[in-house]
Amino acid sequence: MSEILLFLVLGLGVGAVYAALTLGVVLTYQGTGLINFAAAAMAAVPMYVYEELRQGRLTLPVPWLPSFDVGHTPNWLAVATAVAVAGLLGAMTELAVSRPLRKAPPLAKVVAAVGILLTLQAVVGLKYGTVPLLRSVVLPQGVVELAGVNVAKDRLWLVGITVVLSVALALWFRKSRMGLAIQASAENERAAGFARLSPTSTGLVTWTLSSMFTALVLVLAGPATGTLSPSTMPLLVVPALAGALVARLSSLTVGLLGALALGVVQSVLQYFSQTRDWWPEWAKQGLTNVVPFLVIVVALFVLGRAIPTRGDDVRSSLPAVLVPRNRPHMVAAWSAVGLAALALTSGTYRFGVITSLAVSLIALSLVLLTGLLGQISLAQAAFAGVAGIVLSKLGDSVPFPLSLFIAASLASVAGVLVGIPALRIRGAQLAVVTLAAALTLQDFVLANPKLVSATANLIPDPALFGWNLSVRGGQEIARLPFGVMVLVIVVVASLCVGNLMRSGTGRTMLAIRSNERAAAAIGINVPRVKLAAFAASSFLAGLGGGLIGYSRGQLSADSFGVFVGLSFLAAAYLSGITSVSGAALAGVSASLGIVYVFMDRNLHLGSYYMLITGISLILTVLFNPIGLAGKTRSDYEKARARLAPRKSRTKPEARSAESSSSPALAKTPRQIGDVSLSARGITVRYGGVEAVSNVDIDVRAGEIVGLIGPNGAGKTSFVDALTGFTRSTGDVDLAGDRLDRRPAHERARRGLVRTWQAGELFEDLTVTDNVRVANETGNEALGMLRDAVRPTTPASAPVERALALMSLTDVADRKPSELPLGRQKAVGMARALAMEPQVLLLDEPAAGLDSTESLAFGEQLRRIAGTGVGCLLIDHDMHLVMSVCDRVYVIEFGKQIATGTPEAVRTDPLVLKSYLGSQSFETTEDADDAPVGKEEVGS
Amino acid sequence: MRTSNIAGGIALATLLAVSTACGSTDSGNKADSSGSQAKAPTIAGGKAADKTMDPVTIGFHNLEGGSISLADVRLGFEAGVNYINKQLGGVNGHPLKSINCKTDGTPEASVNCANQFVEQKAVLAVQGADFGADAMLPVLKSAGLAEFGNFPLTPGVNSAVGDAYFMQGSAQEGYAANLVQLQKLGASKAAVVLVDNPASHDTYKTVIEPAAAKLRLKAKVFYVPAQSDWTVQSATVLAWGPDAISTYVAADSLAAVPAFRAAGFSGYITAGANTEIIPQLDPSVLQKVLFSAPYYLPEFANPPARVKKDLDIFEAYTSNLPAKGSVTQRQTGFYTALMAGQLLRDLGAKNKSLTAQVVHSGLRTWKGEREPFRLNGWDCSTPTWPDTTACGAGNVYAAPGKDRVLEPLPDQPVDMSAVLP
Repeated sequence: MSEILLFLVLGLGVGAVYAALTLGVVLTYQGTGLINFAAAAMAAVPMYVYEELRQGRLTLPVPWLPSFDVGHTPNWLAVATAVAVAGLLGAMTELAVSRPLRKAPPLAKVVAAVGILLTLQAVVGLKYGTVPLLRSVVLPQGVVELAGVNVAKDRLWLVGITVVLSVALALWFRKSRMGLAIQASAENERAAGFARLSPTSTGLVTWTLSSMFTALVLVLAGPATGTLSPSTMPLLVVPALAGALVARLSSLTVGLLGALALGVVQSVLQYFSQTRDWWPEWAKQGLTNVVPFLVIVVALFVLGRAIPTRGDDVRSSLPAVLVPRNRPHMVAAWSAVGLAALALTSGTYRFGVITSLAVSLIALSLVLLTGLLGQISLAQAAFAGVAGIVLSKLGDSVPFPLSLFIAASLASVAGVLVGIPALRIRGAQLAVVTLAAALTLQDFVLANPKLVSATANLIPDPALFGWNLSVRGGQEIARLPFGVMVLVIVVVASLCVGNLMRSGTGRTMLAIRSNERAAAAIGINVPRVKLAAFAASSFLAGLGGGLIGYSRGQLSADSFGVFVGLSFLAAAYLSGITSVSGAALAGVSASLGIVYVFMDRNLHLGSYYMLITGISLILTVLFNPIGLAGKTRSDYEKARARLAPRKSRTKPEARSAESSSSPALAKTPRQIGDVSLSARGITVRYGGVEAVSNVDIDVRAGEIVGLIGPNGAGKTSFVDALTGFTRSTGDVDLAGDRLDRRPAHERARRGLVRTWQAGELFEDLTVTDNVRVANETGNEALGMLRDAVRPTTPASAPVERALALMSLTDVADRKPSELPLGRQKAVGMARALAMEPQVLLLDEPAAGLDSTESLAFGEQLRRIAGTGVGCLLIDHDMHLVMSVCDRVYVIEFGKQIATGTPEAVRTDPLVLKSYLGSQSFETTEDADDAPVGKEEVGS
Repeated sequence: MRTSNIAGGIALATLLAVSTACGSTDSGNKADSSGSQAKAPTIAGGKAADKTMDPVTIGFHNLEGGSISLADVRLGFEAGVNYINKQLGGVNGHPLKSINCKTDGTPEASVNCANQFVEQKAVLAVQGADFGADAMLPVLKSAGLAEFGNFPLTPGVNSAVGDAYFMQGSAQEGYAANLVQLQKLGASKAAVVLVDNPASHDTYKTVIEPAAAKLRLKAKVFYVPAQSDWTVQSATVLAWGPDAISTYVAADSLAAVPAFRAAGFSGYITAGANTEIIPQLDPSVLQKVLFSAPYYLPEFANPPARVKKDLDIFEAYTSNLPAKGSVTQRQTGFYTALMAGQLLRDLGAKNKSLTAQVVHSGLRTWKGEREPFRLNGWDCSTPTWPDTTACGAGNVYAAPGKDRVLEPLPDQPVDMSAVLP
């Protein structure tokens, strides 16, 4: 028992180290929205400065700056200097990297953090050497007896100091003016800006303060951090990230407690795993890295949707996807280029071409998952490694290419397993999960002696129908047949990915990348698409890993480690993560790829190679976020546009002339049918607040029903409840089909479709594609397979009808952001109509429209209803509501207070008192399309 | 097959120790001061290589420029090649030329080196220190090129029998000798602390556990992850109650040894070849801490006369190198160059021309009387430990004495015949 107590206390020391990093990560995220993957690498710098000062030298982290002999430095001064250096480093990082990226998408921030990590790792190696360094003891030494156990004094001091400093930091964060400003910025950066809270100030303060706080604790921690080494120190960030996720990236107090608990759990598990005979041998390997991953996974499942996405003022989205046209002559030309590169080279250069091709498959996996779907993954190298292991295990027992297919398929399974926890999160948080997964796969799978041999994991040479496809033979380093085989696989895979990008699957993925909520609202099964993408992407990575394995003749687990995964993401981003050509470029620049071989043979960058890579990454993120391929394509398009005859491209008008003449808009009499939507007892609670209370509603086919009420009455919550976007109780019945237990996308697919107050259009898609994607939902996994082979299908009739009905054919190829607000609303309507809904729920569709646009919209709404669609209209434009609606429901404070015809509602004393006042409105009786049919309105 | 998979967590750990130790410190060699050039012994005589003859090309790969950089191994190697060409007549008159290929510990960099060696028709691949070397083997093997070096740093090259040859004792011997030495000093319950990697797990099962059983020594393994808090690790180990501790944790010895002492452990601790930690630790901590080395290091007290002469040559040829640097690394490189030169001279004397195939097949029977810096001979026809690539044997154990000078223990090198499989 006393031993367990000892490990509890020692674990607190480890936890204090994690806490220092965790709180730094949380604070930086709150202040800037950047998850600092480089936190531990940054903290290493002041630690080195301190250790150098203890040796009588002031050595700053600038490679070409000499050290200064300063003689004996008092301990307090050495600590203060180190902390000051940390503050300076933090401030410089904010000014040079974080601030310019303040409005950048999460992927850019993740890549920038990776760039900072690689740069600092290189700087430390160049400046302070790569030899692990023993940490100096700063705090009082000796032992103290606690409950019969001797505990090191310095650990108790460390825990005490960390807790005190953390609590002080948390109080400052919660109570001080600056702390509140940071929280406000995190909640809504744009709103905070309106309140004169400068995000640049909060960014500078959080970077500086978090760097100084982390440095102070880690300098004081001394040996509790382990030895100081540029190769292992940066990985300390993983447990810190686990603590930060437990803290929901927002609570410093929970972060402190989570990190301390993590240290204790690791310490106790380490004790049990090493000293207890019953602990299984296979579970000893990589234990300390598995624990943080499990913590992250559990935290995501428990807190998943509760982890807030910072209210960033993100104005620049991911780089635009460059959709390949896959024209046969272009495919043939590029294949010929690849073939020529193989045929005209030999030896190391041809080996470089082959490696480039194989790595391009891993980059292609990132194009699919990250570029197209927006899911950031740092685990692609690990998936490739899984395929390598499988190939080496299969040996000669399974013939090529079946062995390669099986290996890639098992990598795909690993991808799906990692993707499952990722379903509950997105953005940079997903990068955290995949980083932890990569570390776990590296230590628990790729380095597990039960799976991997310590000496040789040979991969047999491929052969097909007796044809020798081995990479080498005698003095020949890289044989042409092997290169051609790799080229064929890469071309086929690239064609498939290109097909996916220009197909319904590509549009679906881009819709998710643009707006997951809106994607679910049009019936896209977002989790299934994500898992399918993880599967397809890791399959591609597995193919790449398998080909790398064949080219080496054995599995080298180090080729698939965590840092390799980071470098793959970096290379893919540098080259252009949203295009197939970017993937090819990433392969070219990969380690052992053709550029690497060329530089190795002709330039001698030596120790500066890693530094140049890191700095290039940061500069690319800052100045060329679309990557090399994107930039080249963009420049090419510009040049082409300059040379081509000028085409007039007028600014889209608020309403095209077509609207009045389109045959699709020919006036039709409206007929009201049976009840389509019946909702009973709908109740929505947010904590202790009942936003919607026991509301009933009916909407009939062809009927336009209004739902009105003052701001905060619960109208949008009611629509959210009906469509499955918020938790609620009550029955939702759509033409006899109970929907209340179904997820949002299924309700949409069954005909209960909504539009959004804020439009929520897919900014990455054109107007046509915004509408098409709504008509292409269902069978995502099978659809992906089909689209990979046969991508192009013409737009369906409902899509054409919807575009015509909403008068959008003249702007079909434009992006929504290029259109005026009224036409953007029309795109949202067309998207909903393309799903051929039974009932359409319209959430403030007239908001922001002028009176002319509002009148035109009313006309369109009547025509939509004329097609038999039941419409529930929520709007504050009472002229619109009263003129087009057949019946109106009124709610206040979540409760229904009136229902009836517009005339009846307009004269209802309760409604007049609570909402309408003395306004007068045109009613349906005056409208020119008063319904005819078997039921009277309002009966 | 399983026995052939004997690996080297120790290899990794020990060589990491050797290499990293030497990364930036002076290793206690006071000769490497600014005045050392004047005091360096002058080595006269010998015969220079004939520059008009075609050179014999070898490939040299070494960690340099990555997250672990051992440039001093290369510097020592170049000094050795220089000595061969200036005073040993090159390779039977032919100048010895090396393709210096820098690696960063990744398989990619090592494969790149192997490709270059094959492409540039090197006759031998020589390793300074390279953690990615295992990845080279398929390339070298396909081209019939042998891998050669001082110590097999990684498990693949340690077990590539017939394709790789290393002049020092195997990793396995190192582990086993450690137990033998500790038992000789009275230990009965030894904790073995290994880096947490597949090779270590394999090594414990196939080497350490059987050796301990033969010695009737109680042994238990403890695996430590990278970036550990050694207070936690030492408490874990000491909870088992050992009376001796073998550490194979590379440069982490620097943190491990004081942590064990701070936790109250006063028994013997072996710290491998990590002699660089000696000047950094308090003498009280260093008591009963044992170090081992395959040959005499400059910091050893009273080397034999013939070894002293070798050390003088080494000092003369490295005295022009920067004062700040690792003498141990340089000695490793120098030793490796001399052995490679010796191999090529021996085979060149028997063959008309030296090709990769000639060297590869010649290595299978190559043997000799005395290596530089020690008195042992070598024999590559039979591995000194079964299923390994070791041509040599013998580890000298020493403990820091007065002024931290290493005093060899009695009866060195350790006789490990009792634990041979």
